[in-house]
Amino acid sequence: MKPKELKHIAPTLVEIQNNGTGFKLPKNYFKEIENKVFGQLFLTSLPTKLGHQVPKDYFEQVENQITSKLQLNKNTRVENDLPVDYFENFEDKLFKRLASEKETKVFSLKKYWIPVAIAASLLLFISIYNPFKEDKSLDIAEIEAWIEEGNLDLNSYEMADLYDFEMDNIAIKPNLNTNDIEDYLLEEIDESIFYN
Amino acid sequence: MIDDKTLVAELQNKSTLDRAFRVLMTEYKQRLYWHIRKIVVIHEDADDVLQNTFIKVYRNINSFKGESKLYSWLYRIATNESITLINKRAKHQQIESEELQQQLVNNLQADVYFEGDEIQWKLQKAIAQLPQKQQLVFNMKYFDNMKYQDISEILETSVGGLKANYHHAVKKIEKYLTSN
Repeated sequence: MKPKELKHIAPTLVEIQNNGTGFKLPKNYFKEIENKVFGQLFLTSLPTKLGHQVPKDYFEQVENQITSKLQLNKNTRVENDLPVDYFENFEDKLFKRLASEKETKVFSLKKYWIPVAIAASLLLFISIYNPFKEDKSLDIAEIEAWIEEGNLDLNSYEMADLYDFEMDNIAIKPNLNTNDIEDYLLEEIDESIFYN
Repeated sequence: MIDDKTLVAELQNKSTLDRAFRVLMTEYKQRLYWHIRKIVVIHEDADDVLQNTFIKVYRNINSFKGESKLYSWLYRIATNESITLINKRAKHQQIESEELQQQLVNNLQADVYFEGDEIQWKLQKAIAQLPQKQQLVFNMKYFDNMKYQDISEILETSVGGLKANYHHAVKKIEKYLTSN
C-alpha cells in the first residue's frame, strides 16, 4: 500500500503515524539486557539431573515397601495407644500415689518400735499378773500362743498411736535387754490402756 | 558494522561464539524488543520473551543454514516466542488470544511503562480487535515500515496475502478510530 493510498483510505492513521506506540521501558534496560541474557545462558547450562542412581526394580517395589511400613506403624500404634482420658486423669493419679507414699513413710518409722512395744507390753503384763510363776523362762512359742488366744486385743497401729513422744528423737539400741525394756516402759507407758 | 555472513561464521565457531553473540545482541536487541513488545504489550513479558529469543538463538545458531536473512530468522524466533507466550496465557485463562490482548490493552493506562495519550491508547485498542495475523502485519508495516518481502520471510506468508491482511487491518482500525 502506497502512502497516497493509505492517506486515502485511513487519513486518521496517517495523521498519528509518527506518534509511536506510547510504550516506554525502564531506564538502562538495553544496557543491562546483554548481561541478563548471559546470566540466563549460564543458569540454563547447569545440569538439570543430579546423576543419582536407584537400585534395580526400586520403583516396582517401593509401593509395597511403603504399604508394609505403614501397616507396621499402624500395628505399633495400636499397641501403644493410651487409655482414654489418660492425660486428664494423670494428675489425680499422681497425687494419690504421692499421698500414699507419704503415709507409708510415716508408718515405716514406727515399724521398728511396734515389735518392741508388743514385746515390752507383754513383759509388763507378765510382770504384773505373772501367769508363768512356776517357770521363770518365757519362750517365743508360748508368747505367740498367748496372743493367738486373744489376750492381746490391740493392733500394731493402735499401739503405735498411743505413744506421744517423738520417735525420731529416740536412739535405737540394737542390743536391748529385757531389763532395759522394762525400765523404759515403766517410765513411759500408762499401763491402764491394756485393761481397756 | 560487521556483515551478517561474517557474524554467522563467528557465531558458529565455538572459540568466537561469545564475542560474536554480544555483537549480535547489541545489533538487534532494540529492534527485537519493540517487535516483541507490540505483541505481548507488557514490558515484563517482553523482557522474558527477548531473553528467551536470544537464548534460543545462542543454542540453535548451528542450525541456521543461511537460507533466509539472519534478520528474518531472528524476527521469526521472536515472533514465535511472543505468540507462544500469548497463547499460553490465554489457554491458562481459558479465553482466545485476541481476548487476552484486549484485556492487556484495556489495562494499559494503569501500566507504569505506558505513557501514551488518549489517541495512542485508542490505537492500541483498535489493533487488539484484529485477528492475530493482521495485528502482526499491521505492526511491522505501519510502525516499522518493513518491506513485504521481509515480513513474508518472517511470517512465512506470501506477499500478496500480507498486502491483503494489511489492507483489511488499516480499514478496520480507521473505522474504529473514527467511530469510537
